[in-house]
Amino acid sequence: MFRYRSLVLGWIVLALAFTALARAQVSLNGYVKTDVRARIKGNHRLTWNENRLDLKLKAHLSDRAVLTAESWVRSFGFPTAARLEDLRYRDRRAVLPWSVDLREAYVDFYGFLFSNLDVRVGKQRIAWGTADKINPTDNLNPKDFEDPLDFGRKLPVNALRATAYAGDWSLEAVYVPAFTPAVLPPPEWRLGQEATLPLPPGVQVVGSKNTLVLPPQTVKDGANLGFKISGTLAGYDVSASYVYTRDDMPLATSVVFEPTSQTTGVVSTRLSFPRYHVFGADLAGEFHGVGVWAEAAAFVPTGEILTTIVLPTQQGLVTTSEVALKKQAFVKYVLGGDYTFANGLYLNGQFVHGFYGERGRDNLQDYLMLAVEKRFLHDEVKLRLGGAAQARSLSDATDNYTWIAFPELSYYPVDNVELVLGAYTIHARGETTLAGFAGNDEVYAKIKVSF
Amino acid sequence: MKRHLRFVSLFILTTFAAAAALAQNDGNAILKKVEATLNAPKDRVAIMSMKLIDKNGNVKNRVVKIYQKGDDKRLIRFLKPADVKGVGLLVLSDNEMWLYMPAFHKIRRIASHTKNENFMGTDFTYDDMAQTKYSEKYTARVLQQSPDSIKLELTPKPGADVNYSKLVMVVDPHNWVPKRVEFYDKSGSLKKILTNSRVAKVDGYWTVQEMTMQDVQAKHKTVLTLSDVKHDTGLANSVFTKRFLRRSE
Repeated sequence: MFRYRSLVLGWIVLALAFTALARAQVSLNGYVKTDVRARIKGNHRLTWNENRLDLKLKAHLSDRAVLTAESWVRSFGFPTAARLEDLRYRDRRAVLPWSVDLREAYVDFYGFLFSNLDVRVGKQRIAWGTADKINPTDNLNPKDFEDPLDFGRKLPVNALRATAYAGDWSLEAVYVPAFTPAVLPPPEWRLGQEATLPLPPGVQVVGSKNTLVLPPQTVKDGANLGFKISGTLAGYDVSASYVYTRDDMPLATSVVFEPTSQTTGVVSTRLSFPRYHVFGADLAGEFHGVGVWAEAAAFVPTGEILTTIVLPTQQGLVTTSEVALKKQAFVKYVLGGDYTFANGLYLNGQFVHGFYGERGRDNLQDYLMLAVEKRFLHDEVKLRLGGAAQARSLSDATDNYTWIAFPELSYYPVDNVELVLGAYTIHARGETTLAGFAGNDEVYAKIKVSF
Repeated sequence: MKRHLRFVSLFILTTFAAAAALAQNDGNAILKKVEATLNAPKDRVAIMSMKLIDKNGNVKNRVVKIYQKGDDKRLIRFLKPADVKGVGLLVLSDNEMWLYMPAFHKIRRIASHTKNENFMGTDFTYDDMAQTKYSEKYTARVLQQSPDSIKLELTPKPGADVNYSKLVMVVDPHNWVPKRVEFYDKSGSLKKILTNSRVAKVDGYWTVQEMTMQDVQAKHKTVLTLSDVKHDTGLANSVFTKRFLRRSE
């Protein structure tokens, strides 16, 4: 009976939704994208195999209310079939893996209660900051490291966002009720160095397990809150922001060696997500004809995080603790500029202090990013050469560095069609955050057709 | 005799100088009339179709909705093609331009180095799109005058931040609308030709309904056609804000 009622209720909701949409002015757009990548070195293994259908729906419910929804239907990855039964199974995902991802779904209310107040409710991306891709002030959406080529990608979250306008200025308030952790990169694209445990001679780690301690989804523990004031000052677009958030990348709070025999054991790790107050500011404008931007955020941990470590020694298991995160503010910042020369050559550069996943004043590293771009044949062809370099410090730059070059050629033969051919080559030596990328040189080909 | 010659020379020089000054004054006055005609409506809303035609005759299409108020405020929003739908340009002056890219969820201020770039693949630069008052940056003088056309030469004022060494504008004296404008690059070579073809009165205002910008060096042209033109609709200043630029339509 209950099931029957639910079914009827579901149909009524669907019917109402379709009726509302039928009355509304609806548009459906999107794109189809195919993206294939392969390793340059070795046996040229395919590493990425994606077909994506992006569907974006916009329904103008009235002059003052617009519904937006975007979803990805993806055929992504490679067959994972391991047994004959997997090939026979009715769910063909082991052969043809696919997924559906609701990227965004929100409603905009313009002039909500007051003429100068706009409200957006639903799953959304709240993109703060003026820098390119790396935005220290952008902390309301968790990071999405699924695609190493798209490292600025973030996960949309359910949020209530209200923006009040007064002249050139606006005040934005955002409430994110639930905590969502980041999607971490695949192991071969890990950030930072893998920790090694100081074990006595002869003792071996034969396995590992971990437990993520997600915060309770309560207002106190799970919710994020942000405020931003934006405007124009002396010809520059400026903003100042405050966010009460939780780190979306986990931090180890305990590392325990659990013996499985006299000489072997399993390492058990517990990880949690530290809380921060984040005070941010940014500006964008031009200086003597050069486009400039600056963005900085001071992260203030709400408490010190200790990592409890239990390790075997000659005297048996010994418990110690280390400070994983001091209760001390640390500042990440980006300084950037761009310029287009008279011949159309575009140059973009950024200096980044503090990358994703880096925490604590002593652990922030410096990065230099450069890109040169030139368009030909009235924007029909675009050639871009990007590069990034990281050195742990200038004094040992020859021993500890990473540099990455990524040339890319885009061709737009007809409206709505983009063909891309590119590659990235990575060189690393010593210990740097990006050193784990070494050896991942790849070529890629993409085709995107918009509709 | 010598004294007589000196007098004649002085007379000729003075006459030419006076004529040149008069031509310049007339030129500036004509340019003001042209601007007054083009910017006469209090505001304008229109759909603009753009055909981008390359030297092989291949065509790409763009459709934008354009809002204009007075002679400085403009908001342009792309409706087609799909891959640029929603992209918007807000122009408050030639030093205040913002671009909204929906894919990045961000509004970005356009620095002056970008202004001479082609706007979304068209033959119009960002600066061309922002240009509504030539007289602020150029001095005009009359080159030729006939009952059906006036040819003006526009040269940049000292210190003016422009990308052209001069413009040659042919004005129709019956409606004070330019029929043709030639744009010369910094080296003095002809770069682009703007031709205004269909000119008609809409809501009592002379309106260019079709214009072609031809890049003679790149052998590429853009044909703009205006439709659904509405004037004096009472556009609020709030339309010309970053808030509205970001807003879905």
